[in-house]
Amino acid sequence: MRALNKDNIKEIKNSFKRFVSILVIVLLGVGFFAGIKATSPDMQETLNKYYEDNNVFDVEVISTLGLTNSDIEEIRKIDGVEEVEGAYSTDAIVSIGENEYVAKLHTLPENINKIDIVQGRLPQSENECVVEERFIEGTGKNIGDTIEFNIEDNEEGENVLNINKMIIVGTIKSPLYISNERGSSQLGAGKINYYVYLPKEVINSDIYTELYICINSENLSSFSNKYDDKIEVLKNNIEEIADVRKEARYNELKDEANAEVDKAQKELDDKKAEAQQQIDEAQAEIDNAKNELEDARNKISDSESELKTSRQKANNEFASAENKIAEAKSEIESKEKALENAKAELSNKTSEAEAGIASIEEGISQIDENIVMLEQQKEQLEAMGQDTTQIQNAIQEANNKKIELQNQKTSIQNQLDDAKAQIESGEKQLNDAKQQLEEQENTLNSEKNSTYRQLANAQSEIDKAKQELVDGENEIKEGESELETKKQEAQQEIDEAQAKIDDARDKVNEIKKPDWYILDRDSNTGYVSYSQDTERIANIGKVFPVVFFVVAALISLTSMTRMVEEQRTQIGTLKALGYNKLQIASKYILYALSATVIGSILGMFVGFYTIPVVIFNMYRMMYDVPEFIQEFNSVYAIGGLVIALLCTVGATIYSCTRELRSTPSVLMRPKAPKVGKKVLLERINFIWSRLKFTQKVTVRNIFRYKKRFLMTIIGIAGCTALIVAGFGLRGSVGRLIPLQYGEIFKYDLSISFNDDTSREDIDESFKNIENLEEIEKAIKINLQYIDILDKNNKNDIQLIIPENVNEFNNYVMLQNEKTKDNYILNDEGVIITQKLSELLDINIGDTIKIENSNDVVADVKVVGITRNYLMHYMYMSPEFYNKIYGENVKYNTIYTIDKSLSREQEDILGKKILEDSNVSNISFISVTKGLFDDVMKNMIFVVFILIISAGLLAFVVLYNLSNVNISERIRELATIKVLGFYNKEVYKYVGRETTILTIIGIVVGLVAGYFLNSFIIKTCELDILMFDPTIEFTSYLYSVLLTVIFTIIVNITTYFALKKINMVESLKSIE
Amino acid sequence: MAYIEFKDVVKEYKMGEIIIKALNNTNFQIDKGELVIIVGPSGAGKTTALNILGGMDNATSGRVIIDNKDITYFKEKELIKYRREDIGFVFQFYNLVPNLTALENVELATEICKDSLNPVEILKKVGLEDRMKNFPSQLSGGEQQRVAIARAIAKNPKILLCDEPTGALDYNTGKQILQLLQDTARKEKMTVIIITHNAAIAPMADKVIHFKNGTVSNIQVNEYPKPISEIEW
Repeated sequence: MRALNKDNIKEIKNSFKRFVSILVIVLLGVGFFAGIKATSPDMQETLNKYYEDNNVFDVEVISTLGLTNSDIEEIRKIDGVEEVEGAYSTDAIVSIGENEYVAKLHTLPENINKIDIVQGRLPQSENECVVEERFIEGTGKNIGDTIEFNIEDNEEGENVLNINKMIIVGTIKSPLYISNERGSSQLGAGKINYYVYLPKEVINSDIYTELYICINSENLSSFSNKYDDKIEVLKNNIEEIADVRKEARYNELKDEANAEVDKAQKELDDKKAEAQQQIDEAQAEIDNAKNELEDARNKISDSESELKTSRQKANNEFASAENKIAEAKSEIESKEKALENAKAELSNKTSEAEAGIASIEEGISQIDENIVMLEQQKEQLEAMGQDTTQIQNAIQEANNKKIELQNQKTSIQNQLDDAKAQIESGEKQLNDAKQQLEEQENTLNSEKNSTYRQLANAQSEIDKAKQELVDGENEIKEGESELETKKQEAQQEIDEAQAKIDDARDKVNEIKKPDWYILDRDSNTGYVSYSQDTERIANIGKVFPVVFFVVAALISLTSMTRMVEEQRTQIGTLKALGYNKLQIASKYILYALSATVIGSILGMFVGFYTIPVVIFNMYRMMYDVPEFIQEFNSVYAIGGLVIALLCTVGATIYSCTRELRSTPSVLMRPKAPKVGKKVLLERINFIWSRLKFTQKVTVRNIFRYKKRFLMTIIGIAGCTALIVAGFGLRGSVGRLIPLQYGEIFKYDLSISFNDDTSREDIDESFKNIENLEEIEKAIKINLQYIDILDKNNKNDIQLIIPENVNEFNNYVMLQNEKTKDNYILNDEGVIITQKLSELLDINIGDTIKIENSNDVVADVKVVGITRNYLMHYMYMSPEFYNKIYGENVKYNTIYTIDKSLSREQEDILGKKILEDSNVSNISFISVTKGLFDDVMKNMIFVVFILIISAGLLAFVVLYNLSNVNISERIRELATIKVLGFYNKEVYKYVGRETTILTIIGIVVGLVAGYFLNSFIIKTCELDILMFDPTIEFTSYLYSVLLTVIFTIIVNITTYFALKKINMVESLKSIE
Repeated sequence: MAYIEFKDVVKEYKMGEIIIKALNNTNFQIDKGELVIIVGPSGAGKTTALNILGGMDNATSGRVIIDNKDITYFKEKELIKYRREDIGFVFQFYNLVPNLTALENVELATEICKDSLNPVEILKKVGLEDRMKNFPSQLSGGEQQRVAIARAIAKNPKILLCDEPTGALDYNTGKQILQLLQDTARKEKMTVIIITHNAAIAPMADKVIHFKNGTVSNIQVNEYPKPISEIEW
């Protein structure tokens, strides 16, 4: 056995090329298998490690009304929850220069979703923040610069942030954003540009917008089913407490709000009462004043009447006094007169006495004169209209007196003396009385004066009081009117305040019960696209290694067959020497085994440590993920080795057993060269006779080496197919969005409205939007999610109902996917998208049960299946909706077709539209398309991977085959060289075969490529996608060209190998 | 001037550090139409001489003149042209292309020659009229060698080089082949050089060149070559 072992080692040395060729194909096969297979787990492990290191959430809870510490407490109690942390996030506008960016603000995490510092440090005080690296690159701001956040006030009208100007102190990386996608926003142009982390203290709120929950994952991979199960259980558990918590939060919020409103009401009531009191007081004061005034008035009138009485009295008194005085005076006067008269009488009597009758006559004449005078007086009086009786009487009297006087003429004399005495005493009495009267008169006058003065004083006092009264009245009037205005003012204020409170109360009543969204990592777009990418690679790993292993098996088969054939004599000799079959075969098995094991081990290392890195580095351009973790994946290592061994050792055993069946004597004789025979083509004379000699030779040779023929074709076909698939895949993926958003969805902008927007508001918004200068036309749409009940539907289906079915084809093309005829919606039934019909096996004419977003069920007939590439849609006309649901459609979305706009113009338009508070969201098709460019970049890597593998495959197969070919035919080739074939001719002699096989291989490869492409697409395709599997002509062309280039490169090496063939080989004996 | 002239031809092979002289100052001349047998033990330099004569190798020094052409330092392409037009080669193991019929094997050679002869005629001449459509595997060794000779002759070469043409054949068949070669030389006036270690057939040749230790030890000219049928060994 030792000699045999030595022989084995020598054999490897001698046929090193063959050994290496088996080794290399095994290396490639195992390398690709291990590498591609390991890439997906490695990538997953990388993300997993990152998530574990940064303690990324497993479940996230978002509530429409925010979450509280007691929510945290309750969730913490749930089984399996290890940590719960509340976080706050909001969107803000950051203006830098002329540009406005939308930033997502997060509170700095404590222990969940930890961020990594890239540069600088974490915030230490309230006015510091950290930003993502791209922020620095994109905005030109630097660490140390200050930025200002512009956030709309919250519902209570308070600032969301305590501080709006913040200093950037560092750049960070957040595990929540591993892809370039930052999410959408209601601000700015509707898209978040950057994320920023702030200290919690800056947020002016004691609730959380989201809760992050970590489970005790026990090192479970986030991508494992066990993990999914665990998360599902947790989500259900949270769901269970959710209702209670929602109710609690709702009540809390409502109570809080109610309390606040009540407080406000109470305050208002207090104020109202206070105001009333003030008013009442003022009124009372006024009334008091009025009363006082009234009293005053009364007093004044009393005083006045008193005064009047006093005056009257005084007047009366004074008048009587005066009368008395006047009486006295007149009495005195009369007495005086009487006295005078008496005196005069006396003197008269005296003179009469002295003069007798003359005096009486004189008296008589005097009386006559008197009478005349009295007559005159009487006349005068008559003229004056006065009573003349007195005067008449006087005249009478005078007449009487004249008689009397005549009678008295004698008596007077007698009496003269008496009279003289009497007059004297009378004079004296009169003087006394006069004096007395004068005194009385003086007293009366002084009394009168003082009394009148007093009265005047009283009058003036009354006048003054009266004036005061008027003033007081005026004052009261002013006060009253003032009070009136004040009253009105107060009322108005109170009314306003009441209205506010009522509003607030209405609002409180309007508070809806919160919704909880319990999300897992699949809600993170970065995570989802990353895991989808790893799945894609895993899918590729299912297909590609197969090609390599098949080729490895075929190469081993040809190589080992050749080897066994070459060593017939030796096998015969050994057999003759008495070695058994196993011992003999072991040489070849060991040969193949050692080549395979070495190749596999090398392949594993190359595979595990290069391919994942290469692929990962390509994806790393898209994802912000830390250092790649490469693992030696023993499952795939052993798997690869076993498969490789099956291929090579299996092939070896197969080729050995064939030879070993022969007896030694047969084996010792040289094997009859392969029998030349006529090929089928020779029988077709008219073709055969037309062939040139060399062509005939080629044809014969091709059919002579069937195994090689097959292998070359498989190799070349595999190469071409891989490239076709690569380009095809890129084309299919690349066309998806252009087709969906170019051919199918022809609108430019979709504007959705808040649920509670009224029909009228939407109509108004529609008019406004329609009239915007950037908009060419617009259409109202109802967009809602529906479910198909009678099929096993797991997909989100959107129902689209356009207002105008005839116009609709300008916005969304409904086209029969087979006939390419355009559909117009009618009121007969619905049109569904192609993939949906395939997934649920729905055909035209079928009736399905659908449930609209209000959970109303209806039967609808499918009248069309339309071309569509992304997501699932159902279309129906508003009339049909009315027909099946008995209500009019309420439109909630607007699609527009814009005039051609630049990105900047679209941003401006977006802002304009978002000013309408009813608009909840806008999305530009161009933005969606832009996002897809990244995916396209990824696809280029896939194409590269495919082309590189295809090239390697082509090289290995062709090189190996050409080596086998040359070694097998070395004698023949040496001979024709001796015959004088030029190198070129020698090459052609062999190369023509290769060329033909290559052509056949390419043709087969193009077909195989088509199917491979379809296969890969079907494997990679998600339920929501439908790739267009058409492969463009250029893809075929490139594939052919690349294959030809690879073949030419291999053929050039063949050319030199042929050139090197030593003609002496022709002289050697046949082994 | 002789038709073929080997003048002080030296051929050295480098085997690592050691230089082996396969031919050492070899001199001989062959005239046109001669049937020459080169004979000698293994390793005497016969095959090396044959290689140089057949244009498969260059001499290290000396001169090789064939029909007034100095081929000593021919470039590869010139050598191919020389082989193609001037040399016909008959191998010990026939070296027929197994995938081609007898006729096609001959055609393989005539395809590339300007003044080639009609393959069918030639095959008739070598007595394979009925076996032209047969593949080598359907032919006996002698028949295969006839095809090989036909292939060599059909090129209408200046020299027909035969390397142990009977080495793989039995005695009688070998004799027939040698007869064919002798006839060819005589009838076609072709220069035929046969290399063999079988000195017994030497009498059939016009000239016998003996090789020993890398050089010509003796040249013997037969005034009256014997027909092959008269030679026994």
